[in-house]
This record gives sequence, C-alpha cells and structure tokens, in this order.
Amino acid sequence: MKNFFVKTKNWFLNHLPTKRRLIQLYSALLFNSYLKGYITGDIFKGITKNVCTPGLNCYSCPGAVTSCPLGALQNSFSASNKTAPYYMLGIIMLYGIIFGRWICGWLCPFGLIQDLLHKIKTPKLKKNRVTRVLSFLKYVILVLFVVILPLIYAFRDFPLPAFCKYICPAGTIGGALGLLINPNNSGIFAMLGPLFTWKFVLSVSIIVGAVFIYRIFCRFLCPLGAIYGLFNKFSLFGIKLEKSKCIGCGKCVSVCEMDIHHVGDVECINCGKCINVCPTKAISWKGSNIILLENEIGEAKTEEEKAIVVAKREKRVGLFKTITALVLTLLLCGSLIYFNFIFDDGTSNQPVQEPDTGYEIGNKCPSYSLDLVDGSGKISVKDLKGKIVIINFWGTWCGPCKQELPDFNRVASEYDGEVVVLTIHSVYTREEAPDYIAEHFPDSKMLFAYDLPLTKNVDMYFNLLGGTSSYPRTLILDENGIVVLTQDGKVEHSLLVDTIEEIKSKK
Amino acid sequence: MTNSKYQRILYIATSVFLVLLGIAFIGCCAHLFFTGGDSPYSRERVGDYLSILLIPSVITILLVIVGAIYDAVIDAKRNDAVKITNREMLASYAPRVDASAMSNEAKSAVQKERDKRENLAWIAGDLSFLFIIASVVYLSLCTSFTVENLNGDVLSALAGLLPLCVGAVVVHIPRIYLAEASAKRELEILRAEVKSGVAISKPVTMTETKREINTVLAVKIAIMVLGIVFVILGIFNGGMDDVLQKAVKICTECIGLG
Repeated sequence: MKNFFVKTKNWFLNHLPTKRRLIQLYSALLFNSYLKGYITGDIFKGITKNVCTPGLNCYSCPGAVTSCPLGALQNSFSASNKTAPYYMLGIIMLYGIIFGRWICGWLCPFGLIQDLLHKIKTPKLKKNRVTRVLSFLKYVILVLFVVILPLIYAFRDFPLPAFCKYICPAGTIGGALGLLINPNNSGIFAMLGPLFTWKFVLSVSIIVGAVFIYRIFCRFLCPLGAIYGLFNKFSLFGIKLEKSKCIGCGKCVSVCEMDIHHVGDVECINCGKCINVCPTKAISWKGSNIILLENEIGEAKTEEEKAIVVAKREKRVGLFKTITALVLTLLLCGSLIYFNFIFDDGTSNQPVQEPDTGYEIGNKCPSYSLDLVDGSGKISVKDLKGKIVIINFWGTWCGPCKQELPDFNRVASEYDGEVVVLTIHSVYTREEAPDYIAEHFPDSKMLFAYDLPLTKNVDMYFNLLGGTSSYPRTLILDENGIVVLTQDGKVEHSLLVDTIEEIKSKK
Repeated sequence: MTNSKYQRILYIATSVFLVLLGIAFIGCCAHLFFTGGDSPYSRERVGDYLSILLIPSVITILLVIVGAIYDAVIDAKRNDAVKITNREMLASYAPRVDASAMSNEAKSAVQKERDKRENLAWIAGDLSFLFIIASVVYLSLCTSFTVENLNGDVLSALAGLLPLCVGAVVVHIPRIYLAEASAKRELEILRAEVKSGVAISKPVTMTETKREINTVLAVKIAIMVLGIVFVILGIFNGGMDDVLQKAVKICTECIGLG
C-alpha cells in the first residue's frame, strides 16, 4: 500500500506541468477572465479593450477582456483613409521589440490550444524541407490579407478586416462558436451562410491538422507570428545564442519542432527546448545575467566565498520568483473578481420601458425619441403607427451595414407610403453619418436618426431593442407596432420584401 | 503483442477516428449549407446534426484519454528529434576541411556540386520572382474590387492569386531536394578525403563583433522609441478609441458570421 502511494506521488511529481505550460494557461485565463460572458452570451464592453493581448485572442470571444492585435491592426488599416494607424503600429512594434516570438511560445492562447492538441497520442508529421518552404506562406497571408486588402477597401470607404473575415480560426472557434453555443444568441443562426461554412471547414481542418502537425497554424498561416518573428533577433525577451561557445553541432535545430535554421531566427518561438540539449551551454535566456550576476562569482577568491555568493544569489532568485508569483496571482484573482462581479457595463441604467413592450417577435416595440440626422427634429416609433416600420441599426464603421443599406433604400422607394425605413446610426462615428448619407442616399425615402449613448460604449435604443454587441441589426414592425421579425447581421432584399408582403396579406 | 505494438495500434486508431470525425463535422456543415435553402442554419437543425456526431465524438475522446493514460502508465519515450539536413551538416563540416590538401579530382567534384546548388538557387529564385511579378500584375488588373459584390470579388481575386503565390513557393521544393542530394554527394567526397588523410580542424566557433552588438542595440533603441512615439500619436489622433469601439461593437461578418 505504501509502495502504491509512493509510486503515485512520484508519477505526479514527474508529470507536473512545466513553467511554460503554467504561464500559457495563466495568460489564456487572464486575457479571457470575463467568464460571465459565456453565461450571458454577450461580449465584454469595458475600457480594458483599449489594450491588446500580445497573442491571438479574438475580441468577439465572450470571455475576452482585451482586443486582438491582428484584428485591431486590420481595422486600423481599414480606417486609414481617415486616421493614420499609428496606435496599432506602435503597439505591435513595442510588443515585437520587447517580446518577439516569445509571445507565440508563452502567451498566445491559440498557441496553447495547438500545443494541447499536439499532445494527443497519434503519429506525427515531423518538420522537413517541404514544411520549411511552406513556412513562407504566412508572409503571403500577412501581405495580402492584413495589409493589401484592408488598404484597397479603405480607399473605397469600406472596412474590411480580411484575415479575420476569411481565415482566422481563433475568431471562428473563440468568437463565432463561443457566441453561438449560448441559447441567448439563437438569433445569430439566421445570419449564417457561405462565409461561416467556409470558416468552419477551415477551422476544423486546422484543429485536426494541429493534432498531427506541430503548431500548424503558427508555422504556416499566422500573420502575427510572421510580424513578431521579424523582431526576434532584436527582442529583449527570448533565446540567445552565444556564438563564441557554439560548435555548430546542430542538436538545437534537430530537437526543435519549428522550422528554424538556427536558434533565435524568425521561426523560433523561444520555447526553450533547445537550452537543455546544447552540449556547450551556448543557449540561454536573454537577460538571465541580470539575476545571476556572474561577475560577483568571478570576484570571489576562495571556495568558501564562492559558496556564500552562490547561496546569496539563489536567495535573491528565490525572492524574485516569490514576489513575481504573488503579484501575478493577485492580478489574476483581481481580474476574475472585478470583471465578473464588480464591473458594470451600464446596461442596468436602461431607461424604464413602457409596460408590455419588448423586442421579441409578438411584443409591442418600445418607443423612444431620437434625433434625426438632418437636424429637422425628432422621431419615434409611435409617430409611425399605421405603417409598416423597418428599423435598422447601422454604422459607417461597419462594412456589412453599408452593404445592405442600398437594399433598404430600394424597399423604401418600392413601398413608399406603406413602409417606413428608419435607420439608426450608432453613436460611434456619428460625425461621419451626414456626409455618408448625402453622398450615397441624397434623395432617399429612408429616415436617418442617431442613437443615444447609454454609456460610452453602449447605444441606448440598440440595447433597448435587444442588441448585444453585433451590427447590423434589423427589426420589422407591423402597422400596430408589433415586432414581426428580428435579425442580427446582414439582411437580403428578398427577406425584407417577403416579410412586408406577409404583413400586408394578413391585413 | 508487445507494449509498443499495442501503443502503435492505439495511436493509429486515434488518428483514424480523429480524421474521420473531422471529415464528419465538415460533411455535416456542408450538408446543412447545401440543403438548407435561404437560411441553412437553425438551432434545431444544427442540434439534430450534432446528436448524430455525439457517439463518434465520445469514442474519439475515449480513445484520446486511453492513449494518454496508456502512455503515462507505460511511460513510453519517443524520439522526437529530427536529423539535421545534409546542407546544414555541410555548412559546419566544409569550412573545417583543409581544401589545399585535397586532390584535384576531389576539388573539381566539390566545385561542380557547389555550382550546381548555386544554379538551382538562381533558377528557383528567378521562377519565384516571375510568379511574384505575375501576382502583382494580376492584383493591379483586378479593378473590380467592388463593395456590392465584396465576397465574390475577393474570392475570385484570390482564386487567381493563390495558384500564383503557391507556385512562387512550390518552385523551391524540387530545388531543396536536388540541393540536398548535391550536399550529400559533396559531404561524401569531403569525408572520403578526410579518411584518406586530409586534415580537418576542430569545430569553429564564431564570435560576435562589437559592431554587430552595437548595431543590434541601436536597432532595439530605435524601434522602442518609434513604437512609443507612434502609440502617443495614436492616442492623440483617436486610434486608441477606435480600437476600443471596434472591439465592443463587432461587425458580425468580420468574425465570419455571415
């Protein structure tokens, strides 16, 4: 019996997670500490989303409390016809120069997912000459999807984060599926179509591929890794090679599962596996001398003095580790408590609704007075009683919103007198709305109004009518103001016409 | 059967189930999409398909768990190391061989292999460059990047660009195999010479010059300063606020919900 306990204890001690795994788990939890989002099905809307995670973590994931650097970079390029993308370029440069691809190996949540999948016991495809060539594909994706496409469409005044839209598996798995699994987001199913199908297929292929091929996404597809890799040589964190000790035996390259040519090159994710295999101890962590302070040992004259210096050094290292662990633990606990129990997104300050109103199908739509964009006065839904009303929430920053507006304009013209289309612009970028409307819809029959701010980040009427975080959103009301259709996402002209005809036929 | 044979069977069974499960998920998604009409996805339909996939998923998860437990209990060690390539080995071996002491036949054979590799690099590089030029020309001729038919325009541009980009990468694959074979031949020649008495020095260690160290430091400082300046400029020109707003008001198609 005693033997069994000793064996079990030894087994656990030999299979403890490594420091790197613990840091990966810690950072994944820290960047996704809004656990309440998985229950409510809504994303976090707090001010910490000003800050970007170093690694790939979609901001539409219900738990994410920070922004994704790649998504934010694409959005910055998409808006570069109005604002130069200094902020995101600066953030990426600072992350790159401080951490380099150490982020990929230690902080990226999607990297952690791939590492865990690769642990599944199956035959593995090792790196070879072909994979080394394929590792250039991520630079092609970086140039095409992150830079060129968003810039081309920016100068057509259409925001297009092409990598997020067409490729990113982190967005599909963390964001799209994270929102879909919640019953409160059943309305999202209606908007799924070819784009989601393509992304789902791609994501499943990457997930299955990650089991057989180490870090398949990081090696061949990730543009963020491509950017950080360029900083690897200059970064403050990471692996360094002391060239004076290196004998070129190649053991570091052979043990590494990434497609490196030498330690610390653009493919190196600084995982540290090579440190233990180097026969001449030529590989170490950058900055390791700061704590170790080799000079003090060199100055010691006798063995006793050396032993004292080594003991002092170990005490210093131990103290540093203890303080760091304490601070990080407090940070994580503080985040979990604050984001889940203390943070208030302001939606609880919603104005009191009229009784017996709501935004679900069959409810009477609540009415609220909103300012018209042309400054001619105010409008509310109850002023439009007796006509079919189409309410559309949009914004100039939202590509699909702009894409569907011509369809709403067509409906407003085709059904003039019977149907009123009320488009309500988000508070964000409201200053761009008058020019956009004047340019694209000069003689439109549609009504254009502004939403009101409930908080800095939440639009009041949008929130009142069941909007959570995703644009565009459309509601169709019959002549009595009863909700007949609610739709998140882009709406086709045929759906609008079918719904209008159905309401008319029921008269 | 030995433990390693059981292990191999378990690994292969897990692989097969994983791949089949992946294909099943993709197949169900495709079937939902192609048979669903205007609104292919609904909670009920998706739920029906997921219930079909439940049993295979459970079997796959069980296989994964059994594999993990088996591996942990048996504590099997695998050799994950990869052999270094002949070109890498040659890069550290060739400079150590005393070339002046080699025979003339060996010298000309070695030079022939080096010329071959250089020619291969030039050919592959030129072909790659041609593909890149073709991609740039194709992209500039694609004037139909409309907003109305966004997905169609982007996908059709990619349908043309992707083969060109893949071509630019794929031309290097035969070069790599041929260069590897050439490096192997050169290594054999050098080893034969060393065996026949040509001197070979100990492994050479490199040194980092002070100039290299100063250059790296200067680049680090420059990028750090530039990054800080850009962040400050971005805060003042509203870039930081844009990041917040775009992260809290998500455009659904932009995360693939469309």
